[in-house]
Amino acid sequence: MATDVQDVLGTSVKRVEDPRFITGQGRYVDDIKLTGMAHLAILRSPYAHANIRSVDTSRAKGMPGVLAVIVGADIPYNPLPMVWPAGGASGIQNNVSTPRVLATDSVKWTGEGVAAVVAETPEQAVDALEAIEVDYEPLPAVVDAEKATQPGAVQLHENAPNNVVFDWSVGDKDGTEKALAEAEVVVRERLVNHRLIPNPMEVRGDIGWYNPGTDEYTIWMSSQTPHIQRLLVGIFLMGIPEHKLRCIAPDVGGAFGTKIFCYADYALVLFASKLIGGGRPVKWIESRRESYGSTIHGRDHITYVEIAGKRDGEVTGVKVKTYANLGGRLSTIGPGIPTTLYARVLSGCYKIPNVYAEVTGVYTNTTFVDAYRGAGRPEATYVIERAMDLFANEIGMDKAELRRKNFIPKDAFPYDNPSGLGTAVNGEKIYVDSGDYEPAMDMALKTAGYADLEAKRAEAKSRGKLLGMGLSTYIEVCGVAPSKWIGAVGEGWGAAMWESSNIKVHLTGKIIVTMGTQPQGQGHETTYAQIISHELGVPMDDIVIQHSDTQGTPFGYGSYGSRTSSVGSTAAVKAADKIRDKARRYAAHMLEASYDDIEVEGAEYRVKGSPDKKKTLQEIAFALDLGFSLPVGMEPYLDETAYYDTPNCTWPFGTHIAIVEIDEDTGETELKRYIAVDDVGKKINPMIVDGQLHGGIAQGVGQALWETAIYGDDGQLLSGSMMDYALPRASWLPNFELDETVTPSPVNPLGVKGVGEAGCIASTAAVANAVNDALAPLGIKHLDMPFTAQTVWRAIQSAKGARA
Amino acid sequence: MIPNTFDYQRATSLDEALGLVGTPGTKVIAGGMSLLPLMKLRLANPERLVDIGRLAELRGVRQLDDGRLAIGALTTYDELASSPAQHYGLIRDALPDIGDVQIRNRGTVGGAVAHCDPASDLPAVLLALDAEIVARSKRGEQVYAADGFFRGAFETALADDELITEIRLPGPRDDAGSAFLALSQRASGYSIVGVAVVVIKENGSAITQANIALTGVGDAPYRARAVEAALLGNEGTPESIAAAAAHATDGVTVAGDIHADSEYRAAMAITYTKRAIEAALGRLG
Repeated sequence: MATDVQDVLGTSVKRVEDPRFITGQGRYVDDIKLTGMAHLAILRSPYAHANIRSVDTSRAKGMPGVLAVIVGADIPYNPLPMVWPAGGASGIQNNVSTPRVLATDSVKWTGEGVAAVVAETPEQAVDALEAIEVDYEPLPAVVDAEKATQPGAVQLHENAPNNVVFDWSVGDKDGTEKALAEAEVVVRERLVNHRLIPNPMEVRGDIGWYNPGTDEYTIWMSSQTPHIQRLLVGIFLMGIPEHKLRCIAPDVGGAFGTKIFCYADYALVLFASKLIGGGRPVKWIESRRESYGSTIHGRDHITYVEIAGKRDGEVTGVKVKTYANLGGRLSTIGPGIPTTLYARVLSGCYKIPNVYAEVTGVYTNTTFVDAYRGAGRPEATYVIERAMDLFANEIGMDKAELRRKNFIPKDAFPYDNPSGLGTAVNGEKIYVDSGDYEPAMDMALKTAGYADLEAKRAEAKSRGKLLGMGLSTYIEVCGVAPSKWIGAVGEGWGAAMWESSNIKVHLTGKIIVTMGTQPQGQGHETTYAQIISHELGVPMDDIVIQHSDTQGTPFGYGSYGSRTSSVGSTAAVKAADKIRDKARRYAAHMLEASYDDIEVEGAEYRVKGSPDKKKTLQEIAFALDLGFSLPVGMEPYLDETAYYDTPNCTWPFGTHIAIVEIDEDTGETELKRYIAVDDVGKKINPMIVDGQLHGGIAQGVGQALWETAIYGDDGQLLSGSMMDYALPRASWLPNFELDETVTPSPVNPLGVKGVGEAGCIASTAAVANAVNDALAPLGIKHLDMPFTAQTVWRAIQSAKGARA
Repeated sequence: MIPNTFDYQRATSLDEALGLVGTPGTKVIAGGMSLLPLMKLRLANPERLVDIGRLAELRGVRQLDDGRLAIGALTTYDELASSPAQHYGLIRDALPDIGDVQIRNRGTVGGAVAHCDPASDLPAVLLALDAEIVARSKRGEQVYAADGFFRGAFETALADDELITEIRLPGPRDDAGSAFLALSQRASGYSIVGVAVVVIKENGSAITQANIALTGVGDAPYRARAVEAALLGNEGTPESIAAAAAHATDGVTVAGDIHADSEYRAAMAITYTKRAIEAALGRLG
């Protein structure tokens, strides 16, 4: 090992994962073919709301290749766990109904599983589904969260009057109402943040294997959280303790949050494997169509916002009432998203003294809703950023200047926001720890040519186009989370959220790092290797990063919430610290010097003042791993594990600006330019950071312009395939113009913050503000997303009609 | 996304294929770009597929002696784009936006014509070009005019035992301008409104012939006769084009769906017709 190893931390090294991913050598769940493997298919409800009178499986059981047909009553397990009730110290009532592995008495959305077939081939399993006869009693449905709470609405669950899951609030109600009453200006608007269907490139799937010889279960799962699933699927759902269940997540082809959760199919494949006997594994792979109805959806808020302040631009209060649609039954952390992760950051990057939010979680006859990229924070950013624009328009103030006037000043950190970021277990609060918002906004304004906006608007108008520019000055909560906060029942999910890393320096000096986090395409195998290379002075080629298997990796909470780079990476740094320390102690033994006299540079451990007396990490590992000569009290092997609990979240921020042009005659809206200045702290790999931003921006733009889940009044999902649900395509997007400011995070030694969600947290609001800015000259105050050509055209037509 | 069980037979000659089609439960497959998705969703459940995809005699584009262009039914969109057909402005406009790369590599001209999706672009192009559709059966050859061939959603004049063998386009002419413009449904790429226009000024400045065809708007692609009539004899001023385009949906029951209701679709039919006529006239110089 050379001491002149190039420091790769902070450089755009190419991703070590990519050769296998782009040459088809990745190994996803569906690539795994086990001896004797059978196949499972799930019959899903065609009705959004119905009682199940009976299920006749007799004909299906006789179909070719069928090994078993399973109905809900066959399965002895608990209903699926829901581990994040809304509440906290105030003890809010949560009216909980979660799915069963297969429905027993009733179905609450199209796509809920009713029966399953296990057969020799996937084709036989799917064919046999058609032979199952379910006698349904169809019931009327309700799909709109606000309407579902009204008197006379269809009722889904006996334990949830008016379909209310919870009524939750945060902030100072009296103070905020006083601020509104005394304000010079109050602007009110109803904002719809519509429902999205996540669409990871790899759909979900799993293989369950029960070994009758050992009475142990193994599951291969496309999951972001194999360790958590060992608890949720094992203990909570099936009653199997950790030592009897092994969870393996092989390569995972995207997730966006969908693969955090505990799904019915996990238990179903394990149950089926045990049922058919013989130690035969059972595979289930979701079809894309199933994914649309049976894997979680995101967003779906109806919000009434009131923003109050003075004519000089000082915002004095924000009051919000949100109906959060949680679907027909609750997903694993459904209630946590529109409460803690949404309403507690509603004031964004602004110093607003009075904030009050009420959130009603609601059951409807739709697919369950849970964390989707950004999870609550895009919804919060959308509300506050639209509200700031509405307020600016009302008082006739420049939108950038309004923001500048209300930014939390850079000397006000740590900042305690008025929606109370968490009353932790021990009474400590979570603070916004750092930020400097003006430089990022000024950079973005300059790049966008904001000063020339009116000239650009006039030029576009001469071409028959309406031009608009939209700002989104966002902050994000990344690096979830301190266990003391997220572990508080109701505030978080009642469990911790530290991370773990084990480093083994083997005999040859090659290093295997095992992590508790779980990549889904982000490039963890690259970025962790960059960190370990930097910390230990070892070339990246000598380091391999492993993860994703509860057998062989330390317990970890997985990857979501933009937490891996701050929490996981710090665990890796701490483990490297331990390796370096033990190597240094052993170098002292080898060089017959005292520990204090050993200095470390890269992979070289040498005696101060005697540069010839030195050992490399490789030499140290060789001797220490053999362990022939050990100092008293030292164990052999260079093998250290660290667990790291972060003291705070991290707080990325930035300014995104979208420039759109609208065809006045057709309503077609084109994103012409997109400028993003992000402060995500220090970067481990700038190329990967840019990639995360590009993907996130595209996803957020997709929501604003094209994507939307559409339900009929009968609860049928009308946009249930890629032929009707418009995912963004590269050719629809302009070249993103990215820039940065760098404010290192004070909470971790690398100064990193996280970037997985920033793009889509900021971009939806930027585009929505741009479209509304373009339409404002026609007298349109607010138009809801998505800005499809028809929606925009109709708004233009009615505005022109109103003025005619 | 697994189709029902079906039998599969690959035809090795046109005569063999003609002997297989027309029996109940049989569907013909060429590129499979429309049929296979329907089968995977089990919306189409044929008992038997007759694969004509490798019949070389139905492939390729050739110029006939009289200047017309004959396009083999199995010519793919991609092959068409690099054939002499690219010299027709509206074909050049329409092809790049049909499907995606895979669909253009596999999907065939004859397949699109026989499938007759109400929002398919190619039928509108053929209508505007006054194309002929040549079909064969054991009974012999039948030549259909494009006008009248597209009868409704997924319904054509083709008899059950007939196969499309060739599409014939009239020869190019210097006094014609053409254009195809479409407003696409973002998810599927199919046209909410697609307008194919051919305008001819035989001698001088007045329009002597106008062929205007719309897709995506009604049950099937159609010729907008009232628009055509309104254009005849005038010089194509903005006002006269707008007045003519206003008739784009005359006599048509305009479709509506979750992407575009009938009011919006009708308005866009008029706007896009206007723009397509302007574009076609612009090419005429």
